[in-house]
Amino acid sequence: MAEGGPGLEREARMFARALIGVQATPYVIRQYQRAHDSLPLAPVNGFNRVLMVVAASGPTLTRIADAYARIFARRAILRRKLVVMLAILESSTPADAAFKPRGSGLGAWLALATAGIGAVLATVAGVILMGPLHIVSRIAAGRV
Amino acid sequence: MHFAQTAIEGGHSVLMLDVGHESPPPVAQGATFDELKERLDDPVGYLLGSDFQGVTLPGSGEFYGLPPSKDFVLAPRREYVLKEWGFASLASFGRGGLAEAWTGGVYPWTDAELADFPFGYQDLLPHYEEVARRIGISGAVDDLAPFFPSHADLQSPLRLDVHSERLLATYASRRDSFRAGGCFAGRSRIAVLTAQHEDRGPCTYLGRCLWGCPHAALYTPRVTLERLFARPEFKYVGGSYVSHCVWDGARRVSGVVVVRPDGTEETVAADAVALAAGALSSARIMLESVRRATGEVLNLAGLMDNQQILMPFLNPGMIGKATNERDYQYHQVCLGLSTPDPKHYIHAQLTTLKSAMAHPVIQSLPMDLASGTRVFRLLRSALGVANVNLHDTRRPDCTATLERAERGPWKLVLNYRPAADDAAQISAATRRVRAALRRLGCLVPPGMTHVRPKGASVHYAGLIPMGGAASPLTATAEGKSRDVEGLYFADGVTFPFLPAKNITFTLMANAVRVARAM
Repeated sequence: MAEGGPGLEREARMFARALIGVQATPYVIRQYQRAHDSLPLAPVNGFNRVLMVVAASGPTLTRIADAYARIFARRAILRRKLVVMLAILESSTPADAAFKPRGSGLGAWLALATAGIGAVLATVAGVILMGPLHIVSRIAAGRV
Repeated sequence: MHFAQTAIEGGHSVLMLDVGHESPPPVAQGATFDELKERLDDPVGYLLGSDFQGVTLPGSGEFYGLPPSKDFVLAPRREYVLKEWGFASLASFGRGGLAEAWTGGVYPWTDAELADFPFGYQDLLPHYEEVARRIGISGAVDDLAPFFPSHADLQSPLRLDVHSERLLATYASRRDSFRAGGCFAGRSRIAVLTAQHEDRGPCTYLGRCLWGCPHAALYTPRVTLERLFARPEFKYVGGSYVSHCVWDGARRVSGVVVVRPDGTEETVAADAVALAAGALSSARIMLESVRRATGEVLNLAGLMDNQQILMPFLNPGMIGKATNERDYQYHQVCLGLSTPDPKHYIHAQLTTLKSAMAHPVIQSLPMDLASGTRVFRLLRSALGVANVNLHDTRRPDCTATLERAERGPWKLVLNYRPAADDAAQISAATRRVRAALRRLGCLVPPGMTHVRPKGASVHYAGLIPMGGAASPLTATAEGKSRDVEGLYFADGVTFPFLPAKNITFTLMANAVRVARAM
């Protein structure tokens, strides 16, 4: 989707928020843009484009599109881009704090249950929203 | 390295010919893994690489690869062209070789494991001890002692991380029951200092072993190479790709032909030649030498490598426990599983997750990455991976030869066929390790066990076996070629059997043994 610098900047900001709820720093944005020169993060066409359009619409939709891609399109461009952003965030401060161990005792188990429920809801929403779009996309591509 | 050092100590002069890609200098020497992110100007460049080669993208198949700081280890050399069937080998042309990227496991082999060798444990013991004296090894004599015989110069073990401590405590509480089932646990034997050793200090627990210990507390062959540079009897010529050996009409070696970086060939004269390029490259040099001398393309049989199985595990008892970023990063606990035939002992190293890149694990979780990150943080201190190793045997259908496409370069061709009982062995070992982990209080998530491809363990051995009958393409017990006078093999190419335990300590000890017998 975002094929140029400003587009990638918007994408970087959106993905950082969606993944760990932080504002991407200028350093993170720069690294995210630079990664597109080296890694196979294109072409964004077919269902990849659909996923990217949905993901670009807001952090919640990013999660929903990603949850769907995790099961039905594991190597999708969206997922690759999100993994790249995740790798950049965990390699730089202050975002790396979001990857350090957290929780203790009963609180940890409750937080785990909450995260699990959130993951299930994102997946269900993904199937409901992205499933039909995936089918339409495949029909349009002549693959069904 | 250890062959060279021993040969020099024995009164020889040594010329080392090596491609020798150089490692980058260590960065921010006193910084922990987390502090690197604050102290470096470009932490992403260091941790993920200038081309983001350190990012593990979905579908890559492995949890972790080498970090960018270790790229030099696997940097290619254009002359080395390879074709493989059933094998996925790695070759190093880096200064220090593949052990620049090892995890430091050093385990002496037992008499049973050396049964096919022309010597036993007691014969090898002085050489093990010489290597231990040189490199520094820490560990303990515990329940694994029957599998890792003790030797001199063993430093006290590293401080345990909390998770490893818990695993060993659980084992201790059910020790008799574990032992009755043929399962033994104890401390890893590792080439890491816990006390001052010559000019190297002890481990300072920076948690960045994978990226390269900045203080060389974790031994790598470059430590020995640096010492050799100070010896007047030692000369090192980097950028030299050894193409083949040359010999005279009486089949006495007279030197080697090297290819310089600009592609020119040069003959280097020598009274004796020791090949220590790693089993695959030493075999290639031998094959190419025979081809150049006679025109004959030979087929070497008996290629071996340990099968490795990676089993991620979760220890629910560790959920919500604090972790310490100042911990040793690699394995600290081993499992040894006895078998009716002691040659077939199963070896597993347990690495608990401490400082490490998170994204390879997070993306493997069955959920969106945002949820995965939350779950990972909560489970982080409870995660670990068992690296299970199985033995291998020499078989006639596991071969190395040369092949040339029309007008193309000569390629090394490797052909590996698993043993007939390969699947059964993997299945039995997986079952036993999973059961052992369960009794240690851990869960092995279904579907996450990864049977690595053949060749992935980089413990290559076996193409020019030593001992046995005096037949062509073999070596004597002292590592001398039976085909060419003055040619020695000082690496795993002569090993007639490959036990499950890591090969490097025995490679080093055998190199010392061969050099002493020269």
